[in-house]
Amino acid sequence: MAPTNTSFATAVTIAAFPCDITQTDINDGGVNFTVFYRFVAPLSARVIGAWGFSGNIGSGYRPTIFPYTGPAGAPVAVLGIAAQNKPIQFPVNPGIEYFLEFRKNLDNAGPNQVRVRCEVAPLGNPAPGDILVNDDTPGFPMWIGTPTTNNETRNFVKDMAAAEAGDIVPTGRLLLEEASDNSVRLYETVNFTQLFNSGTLTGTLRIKSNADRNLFYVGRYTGGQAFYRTITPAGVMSGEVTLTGEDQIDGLCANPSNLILYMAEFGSAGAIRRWDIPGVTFLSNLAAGIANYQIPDIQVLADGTILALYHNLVSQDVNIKRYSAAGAVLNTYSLGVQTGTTKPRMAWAFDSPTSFWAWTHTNTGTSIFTNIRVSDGTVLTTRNQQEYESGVYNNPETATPVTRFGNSFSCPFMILHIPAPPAIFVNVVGKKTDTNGLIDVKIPDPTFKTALLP
Amino acid sequence: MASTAALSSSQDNIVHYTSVRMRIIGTGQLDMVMFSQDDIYSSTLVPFTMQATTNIRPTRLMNFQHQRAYLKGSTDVIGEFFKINKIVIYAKEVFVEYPNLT
Repeated sequence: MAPTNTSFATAVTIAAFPCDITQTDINDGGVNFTVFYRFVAPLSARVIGAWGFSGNIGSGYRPTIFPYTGPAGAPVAVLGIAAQNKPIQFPVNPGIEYFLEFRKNLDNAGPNQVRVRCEVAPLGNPAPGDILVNDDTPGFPMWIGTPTTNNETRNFVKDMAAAEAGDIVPTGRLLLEEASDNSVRLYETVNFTQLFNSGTLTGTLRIKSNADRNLFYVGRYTGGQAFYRTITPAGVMSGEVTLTGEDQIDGLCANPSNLILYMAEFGSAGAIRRWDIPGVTFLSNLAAGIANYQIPDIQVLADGTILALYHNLVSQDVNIKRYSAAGAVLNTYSLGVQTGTTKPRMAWAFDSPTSFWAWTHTNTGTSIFTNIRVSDGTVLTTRNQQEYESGVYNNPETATPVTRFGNSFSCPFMILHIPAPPAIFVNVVGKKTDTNGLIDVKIPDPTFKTALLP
Repeated sequence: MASTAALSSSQDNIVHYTSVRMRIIGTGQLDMVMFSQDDIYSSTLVPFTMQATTNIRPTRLMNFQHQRAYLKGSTDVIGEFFKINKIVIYAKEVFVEYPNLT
């Protein structure tokens, strides 16, 4: 007998989360059917994980899941997400109706089934030291992971800028690139509210805080010329400085007191150059380029030594060199050959300059976050996380996915510096905006009354 | 000034409330009103001008004579606030009953 939930209008309702529903009437007389489910996002939900699995891997009936917002008469696809037989994650607004389509890929003799599993993403309280990964695709939420437990998601934050550049300072202010309009946007991590928007900055952007951790440097290149500007954690943007004689810029970081801007030339074998900030000119190079290695990240520590992240574009070897201000190599921290090809990243540790973090990738969609002690290279923490790219499980289909939630694979990552209360993530349906706007309005007279005397 | 700490409401005698003293800091003015039971009578006191720090615990005189009473304090301007750690209301029993007018 054919299934009845073959349209948005006849979708089966998922009444509670988590759900685990096996539909066995997919096939009728050699014809498989596309089936639909609907749910209203729970009030606590920021992100929903959904998965339709047929039990077949690599061949046979394997449905593709598509999420939509309602209503049934006018469904709209969510962020273009689609995944065949694999889990997905997507942002939701509490109280809003959503649909899941499990689209058939073929007709065959059957019998066939689809097992529908849905769950709400964790809603833990972000804590200092947590790992932040904003997405590289606009619309997808920023992932927050715990610092030490593999594949443990703490929470998600929706409506954050998404692109390839960003950094954080110890006060918790976060500056992120937004790909949709090439702007950079400043956020307060206490409540992840946006404080500043630069407007469009045409070109390719890089963002890094300085060694003093109190100023963001925004590198930019376009039309064969590289530039930089600064943005304070209060959202004050400087004028742009032309890096005369340089056409592109990759890793960058200013030294203590903002006297020298270290910057890597873009691409393979790029040197680490030194820009005299007050003198507005290039000095001699700190280090010559190394064949096949790019330098996606530079971090200058409080003592003036320079960490440079090297990534071999051919062998995928990843290592970090620590230079003295004179250019001598003080340490080399080897992370070995990563099996993935995605650009590795480096981030300030919570206890910087005692340690730092690096992020490498495997070819099975796993992010490896490594915390390394500066003084001797000791690996303090190695933390693995399954990736979800464009909302889709970034690994081959399997009956046993590593985890149902994860981070995007290509973006900056940061270590959270201050706690953020959970209430900040709530999207209030039907929220009322204060009609007084920015005008200060007092609350009703603050009053006390004593008890009746005597 | 007599202490009224031992006053008891069990007899519902008529009490003369004479002053209030507070340990208070803040900004702006603290408006104060004394009310009799069920808000039948009230007496508006001269406000305290509050300071962010002070070594003075200000006293405000009043002349309010009823069986039961309470003090209400409030601010009514944007940015004003108060922090009160202690309130002492001085009072003295003066009569056991009202005059018989019949």
